[in-house]
Amino acid sequence: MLKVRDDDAAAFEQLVRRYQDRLITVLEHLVGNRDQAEDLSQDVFLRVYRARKRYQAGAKFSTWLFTIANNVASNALRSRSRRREVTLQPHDSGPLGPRPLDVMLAASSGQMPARQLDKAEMRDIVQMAVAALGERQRMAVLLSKFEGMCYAEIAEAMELSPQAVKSLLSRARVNLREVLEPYMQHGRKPKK
Amino acid sequence: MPDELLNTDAAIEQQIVAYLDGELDAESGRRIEQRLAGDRQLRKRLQQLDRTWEVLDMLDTSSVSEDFTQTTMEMVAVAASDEVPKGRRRLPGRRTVHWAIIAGGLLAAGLAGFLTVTMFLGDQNGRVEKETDSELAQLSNELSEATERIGQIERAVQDKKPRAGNAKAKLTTRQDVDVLLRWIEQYAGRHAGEFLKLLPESRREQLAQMPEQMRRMVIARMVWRDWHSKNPGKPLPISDEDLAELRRRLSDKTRERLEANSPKEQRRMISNWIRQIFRRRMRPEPPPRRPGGPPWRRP
Repeated sequence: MLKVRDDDAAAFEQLVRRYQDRLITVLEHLVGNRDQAEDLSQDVFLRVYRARKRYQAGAKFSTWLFTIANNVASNALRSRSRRREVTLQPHDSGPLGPRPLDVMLAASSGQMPARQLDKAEMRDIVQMAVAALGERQRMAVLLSKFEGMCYAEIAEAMELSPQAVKSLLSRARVNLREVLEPYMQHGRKPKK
Repeated sequence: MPDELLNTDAAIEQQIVAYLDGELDAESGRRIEQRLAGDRQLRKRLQQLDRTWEVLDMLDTSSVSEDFTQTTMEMVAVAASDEVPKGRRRLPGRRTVHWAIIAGGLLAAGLAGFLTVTMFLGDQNGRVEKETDSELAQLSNELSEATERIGQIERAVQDKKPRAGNAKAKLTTRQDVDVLLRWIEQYAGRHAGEFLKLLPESRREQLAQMPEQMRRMVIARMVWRDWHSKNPGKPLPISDEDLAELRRRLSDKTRERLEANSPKEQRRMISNWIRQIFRRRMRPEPPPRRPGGPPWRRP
């Protein structure tokens, strides 16, 4: 990053290549849409480039990157909610009837606990559980899980205190447990 | 967190999660282990929290194509190219044009007056004649420069006006954007030789240090901008071969939209699309959302 700060374009390309997959992974789970995640990632890299002169030696680049990503994603989610483009909750049904996941979950309920969990199905449930978290809980979880950040780093990236992150992650993990544990143990549909 | 504060579910959950995350100091860790050792329910909760955290490993991780990297670098290249000539690139407002026209008019009036006086009074001697010639040449040069400057400003302002016709037709697919960017890069590559000669040495060196992809993009942008400043309102001179090639490579929907028009209109549409692509990537940086923040964001 220090080379990028000194206008080394090749170094910036290296930086993009190194972080693009990680950034898109987090953003995709955060906004729930691959195309939007790609657009936001490009926006993040553009902002990194424009702000390169403000980067201070010693600061951890990934924390800085995800601070920007957090702001960009928050803005995007806020403007999306302003446009009333709400994401359907798992229990919502549209005009075409129940969503496939609901049908799948309903069909799976009542099965024996020892049943073999289908991997794809399980992945869908996990995705749904993460998507059901609040925006800030989701970001904290993603930074912890995918980026392996400690509380202090997450706090810096999300502009919170470490204590607030501790509380945020604790609530997030309890929420995840409430959704996932009944399914893992008994194949039961998550509570509404 | 002392034991006496571990009396609510939320407080205990926080400590368990922090314990699992390795975020407790030695003393707090020892205390929570003591609690766990004597509380079967607590151990069960810990196992559940741990298990549900582990299944998050099933979440998909993304990987992007080379195209994504290239597009990102192109966007950054455009940002980089905008940084250097920012001061010069800003288009003048109408008020500037008016002042420039007034200044030009005054200069022209001054020259006309000077010529009239010179013609009526005639030459007094050779010395005066020489001086007059010199002053006339200088004034003439200044008038010519002022006129040229007015022309530039007027063209720039004209270029700033929205275009009629298909200006509102927007591209929707990444494929189309990529095809058009590749084409404008090739087009610029064919015309870059003369253009680059006009650049200052420092700018040429800067370009030479850029990665190939970024350099192509910056040059494309410069050539495109140069064409539009010299030919306001005209579509890019796309050859018949290039037009056919573009039609072949663009998405079906875009091709259909193009082919419903005359070749001249097709060139205009393509020019407008390229303009849209470049302009969309030129949006100004919004102001910072809030003051303060981490050290690198503070002034």
